[in-house]
Amino acid sequence: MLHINGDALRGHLEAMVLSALRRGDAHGFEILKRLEEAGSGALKLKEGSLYPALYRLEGAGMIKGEWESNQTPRRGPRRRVYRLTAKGRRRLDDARAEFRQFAQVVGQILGVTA
Amino acid sequence: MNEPRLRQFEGRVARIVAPLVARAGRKRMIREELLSHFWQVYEEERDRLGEDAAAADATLGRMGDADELSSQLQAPVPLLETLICLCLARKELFMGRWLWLLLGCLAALFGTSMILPVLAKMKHSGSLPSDAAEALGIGIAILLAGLVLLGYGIKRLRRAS
Repeated sequence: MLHINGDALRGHLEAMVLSALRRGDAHGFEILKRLEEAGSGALKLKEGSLYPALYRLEGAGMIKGEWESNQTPRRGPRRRVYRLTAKGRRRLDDARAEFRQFAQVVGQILGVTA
Repeated sequence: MNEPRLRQFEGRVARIVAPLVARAGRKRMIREELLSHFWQVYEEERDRLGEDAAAADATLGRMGDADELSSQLQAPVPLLETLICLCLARKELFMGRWLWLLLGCLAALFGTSMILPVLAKMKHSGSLPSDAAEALGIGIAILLAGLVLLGYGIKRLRRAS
């Protein structure tokens, strides 16, 4: 099976995170699970590399993180839950349009039709 | 909770976060969030492998290289925050070695700028104008103070090097 790693994802990871959050608020681990699930097992990320992307998106105001409440019944350190902002939603729409165009142009050049 | 394992992950997270040049609150947040992620990965691996040590190894492998992650985590820190934190981190060095030299230079220049016009007037009129005597005295005092500060700064610089 083809494995898509961090290098191949450069430039797309942030849009993918936004897309994962479109399905609902999630913490980092859950976001990764959603990405892996959506990638049907082909996606291989070093899990730590998700966090720089999350912080970049948060710094740009596209997502907002909040610590989960202490009432959540689970063991282990508390988690930070992220939600998509209106700005993030707009950026995701733009990123989808850009990628569609990119795939179309490169597909034409390579002689591949989606 | 498996405390020794948690300590192990805390150690790894500390290694990742320590080199970051960022405010303490941001580093604390990253530390806690990464630790939480380590722990969730570890629980998943333990369920999958059924063995504690192997699960810990798999967890560390999944998180990637600590040094690489540190440099990736530095990138989203705003430049202004990085600069301020760098200055604060170097505060002692700056205060100890360069502040006195800087203050000395400034004082010496300011004192000289008070003295020179008075000397020019003296040269022009042939005697010390009565209204300039005070400015000359203050100028000389500031110049001397600047020279003392400069001397002190140089002494500290030599001692430090």
